Amino acid sequence: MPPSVDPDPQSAPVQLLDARFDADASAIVVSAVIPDRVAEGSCLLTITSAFGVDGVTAPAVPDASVTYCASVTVPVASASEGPWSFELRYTDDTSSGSIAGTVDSR
Amino acid sequence: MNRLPRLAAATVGLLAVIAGLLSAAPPALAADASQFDPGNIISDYRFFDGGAMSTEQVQQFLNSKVSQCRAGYTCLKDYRQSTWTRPTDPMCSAYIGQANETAAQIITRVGQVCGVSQRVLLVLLEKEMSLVTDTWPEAWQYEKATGYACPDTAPCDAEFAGFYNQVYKAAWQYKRYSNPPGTSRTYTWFPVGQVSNVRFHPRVECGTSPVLIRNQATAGLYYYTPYQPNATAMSNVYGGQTDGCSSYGNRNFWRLYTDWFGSPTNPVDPIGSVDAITPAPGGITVRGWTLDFDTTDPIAAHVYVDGVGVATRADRARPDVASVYYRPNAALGFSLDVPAAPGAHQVCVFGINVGPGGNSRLGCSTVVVSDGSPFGSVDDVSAVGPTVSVGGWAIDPDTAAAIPVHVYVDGAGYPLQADGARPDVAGVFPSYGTRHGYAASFTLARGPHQICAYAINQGAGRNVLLGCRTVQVTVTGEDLGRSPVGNIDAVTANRNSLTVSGWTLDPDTANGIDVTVSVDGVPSTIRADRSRPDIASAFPGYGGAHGFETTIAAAPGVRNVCVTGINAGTGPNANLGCRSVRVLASDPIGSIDVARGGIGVVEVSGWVATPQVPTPIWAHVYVGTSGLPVLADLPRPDVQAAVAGTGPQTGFQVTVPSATGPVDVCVYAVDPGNSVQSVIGCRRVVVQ
Repeated sequence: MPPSVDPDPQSAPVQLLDARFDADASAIVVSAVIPDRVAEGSCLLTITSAFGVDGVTAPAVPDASVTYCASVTVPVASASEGPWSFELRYTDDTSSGSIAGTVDSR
Repeated sequence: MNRLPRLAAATVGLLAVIAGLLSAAPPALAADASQFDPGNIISDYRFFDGGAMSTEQVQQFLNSKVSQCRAGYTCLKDYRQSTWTRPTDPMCSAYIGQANETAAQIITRVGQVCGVSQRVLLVLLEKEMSLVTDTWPEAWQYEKATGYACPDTAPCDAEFAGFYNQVYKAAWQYKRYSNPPGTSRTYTWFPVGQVSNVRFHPRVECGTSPVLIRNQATAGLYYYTPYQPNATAMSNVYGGQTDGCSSYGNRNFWRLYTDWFGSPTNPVDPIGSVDAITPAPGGITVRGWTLDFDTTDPIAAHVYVDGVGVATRADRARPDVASVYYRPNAALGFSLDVPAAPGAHQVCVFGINVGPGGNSRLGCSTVVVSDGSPFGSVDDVSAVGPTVSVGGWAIDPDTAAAIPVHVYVDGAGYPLQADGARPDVAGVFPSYGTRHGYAASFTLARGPHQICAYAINQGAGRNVLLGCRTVQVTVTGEDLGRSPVGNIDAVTANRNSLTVSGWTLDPDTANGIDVTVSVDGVPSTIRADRSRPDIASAFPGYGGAHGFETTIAAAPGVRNVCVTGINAGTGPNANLGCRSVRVLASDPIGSIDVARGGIGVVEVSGWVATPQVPTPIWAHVYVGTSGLPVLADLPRPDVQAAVAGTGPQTGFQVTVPSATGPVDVCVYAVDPGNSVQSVIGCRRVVVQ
C-alpha cells in the first residue's frame, strides 16, 4: 500500500477525482479519494449557489488501498441554478479533511 | 528474520527504490515501455476471461516460477486452504466451498465464478506480495495476498484477511467497479470512452494528466490503484527509480502480465479460423469465422484461390465464438462456395482489418478438385458359403445425386445404383448428401472369383475402377473356424441415446449369433437373430435370422460405437467396424419461479437445465430488449431430484435495472456445450 503521506493523524488528505453537473440526473456529483486509508467514514457534500445551500451525507467507500467518497450526489432543480461551489468533507474515527471547488452546468 | 515488505500497489519513495534495486533483471524479451498505453493497460477480453487458465495450467505456472521452496516455508504452489461457500450476487456466481483447496484451485475457481482472468489474479498476487515467485513467503504475505483493504500502515481487516478472502474480494471488486446490474452506480469517475484526469501519486502536488480510458478493465485498475506511472517510472519499467511523484502499481501490473503472458491488449489485426476447405460440386467450400476487436460489426473475409480473391462477409451466427471472445455480436461466421476447375488449388483466407492494424491470414490449404471423374471405394467383398457380398460407395463430383456402379463378377457386369445410406461418407463429404452406398450379393460356384466395381461417370470425366478383389467360395456346414461377416447398417443419434442396426452371421452356422456393441469402450451383447429377408436372399442356406438393432442410453456428445460379431464356434470374432456419432441433448427446460418489478429494477429467479447434463447452463434474461446472460449455478436440489441427470446447480437469480412502467421479461435456457436452447417463458411485470 502507499506509504504515509500525512504526518498529522488528525488531517486526512482529500483529493478530488471528479465534480460535475449530471444533466441526466439533474444533480451535482462529486467523487474524491483519501489515499493511504481503508476506513469506514462519511462524506458530507455541501453545495452553494445563488439559490441557496444544500447538502447530503453519504458513507465513504473503503476500497482496495484507498477510501473513496464515491459519486456523492446532491439533486438540483435545473442547470440554470449554476454555477455551484461545493465542499466535500471526509470524516472517520481518527481523521478528517475536506476539499472545495466549483461546478458549472456546461 | 526481518524482511522488507513487498512492493505494493502504489508503493512509492524509499520502499520503491529498495524494491527496484532488488527486482530481478529484465527477462530476455523485456516489456517495451513504448507499448504502454495508460488508457488501455489491458483489454476487457484479456481481463474478464474467467476461463483463461485451468487449474492444471495455473498449477504448472506456479510450479515453473518456484523450482525449490526454502525449507520451513510454504510457497504458493504448495499452499492450501479450506474455503467456504459464498452465494451468488451481481458480481460473482456462487463459490462452493471445499476442504483443503490448493492455491491453484482457488485462483482458478474464483476467476471462473467472478469472470476475471486467472492470469490477472496471478499478476495481482505477484504485484502486491510477490507470492508467485517468492521462495520463502511468510504468513503475512498470504494474509494480504492481493493488498485488498490491507494498508501497509494498518492491520488487515479481518473480513478481508487471508488468501481465499483476498483473491475472492479482489476479483469481486474488479467486477463491482463496472456497476453491474443490481448494484448502484457508485464508480463513475473513470468513465469508459471519456477522458479522466488520473493522478500520478498520492501527493496532491504531483498532479494529474488526462487519460482516455478505453475499456472497463483499465478503469477497474485505476479504481483499484488510482495512480498512473509518470515518465520517470516508465523510463525503466523494471526499476524503482523515482522523482518523488512516481508510482508503480499499474505499471508493474502491465509489465508482469506482458512478461508472463504476452500483450495484455487485444490484437489490432483480425483473428479467426478456417474450419474447413473442402471440395464441393463444381468447386470448393470454405467455412470459418473472423473478427476484429476494433469493431463489433461483421468484417469481410477474402478467399483467394490460386491468387484470385473473392470477398464475403463474416456475418453468420457463431455464438460459440462470441462466447469465447466476449463479443456482443455473434455475427462472426462465413461460408462460401468458390467455383474452381479440376486440379490442385491453393486456397488462402484472410480476415480484413478494420481500424488500426492490417489484414490477417487465417489459413491456407491445398485442395484437389476432381476432373469430374467419380471416386469411391470397395469396402467389402466376402463369401458366406456360395454367397458373395460386395459393398462400398461412390460419388461423382459433378453432382450430389446417386450414380451408377457396375460390378463385374469374373467379367460379367451387373449394374447397381449407389443410393444406399452412408452417413459416414456424408460426414467426410458433406456437400454431397448421404446416399452414396452400394451393395449386392451373388451366388457363385465353389472356387476363386474376381469381383471388380466401376463408378460410372456423370458429366465431365471418365468411368473409374474403384477396385478389384478375389474371393474364395467354400462349402457350408461344418465349423471351419471362419470369422463372422456382417455390416453396420446405421448408427443413429437420438436424444440421450443412440441406435445401432445391422446384421452378422457366422458362415459355419445358419443360427443367429451374438454381437457386441461397445459405446466408448463399454460393451453390451445382444443376439443377431432378427428377421432380415434381404440377408436370407443374399445368403441362401442361412435363413434370415441375422439382423440386430439395439438402442443404448448415452450421454450427449460424440460417442464412438464399435460392433463385433461373435464367432459361434471356433475361430476369431469379426470387427464389423466403428462409427462416431454425436448423441443429441434434450432441449433445455426450466421455470421462471419469480418475476416481479421493484423500484427501478426487475427481479427474476428460477432454474434452467439440460436433462442428462450435470453441468450448469445459462439463463439469458431479457428485460424488454436488453439481455443479460446468467450462469444458472445456484443450488437447486429439488430440480436435481426431479430432472434426471442434472447436477446440483441449476438455479439463477438476477436483479436488472429497468425504466418504470410495464415491461416484458423473457427467459431463455442456453446450453452452448450441446448447441441447444429453448424458450422458458415470458412474464409482464410493472417496474415502480
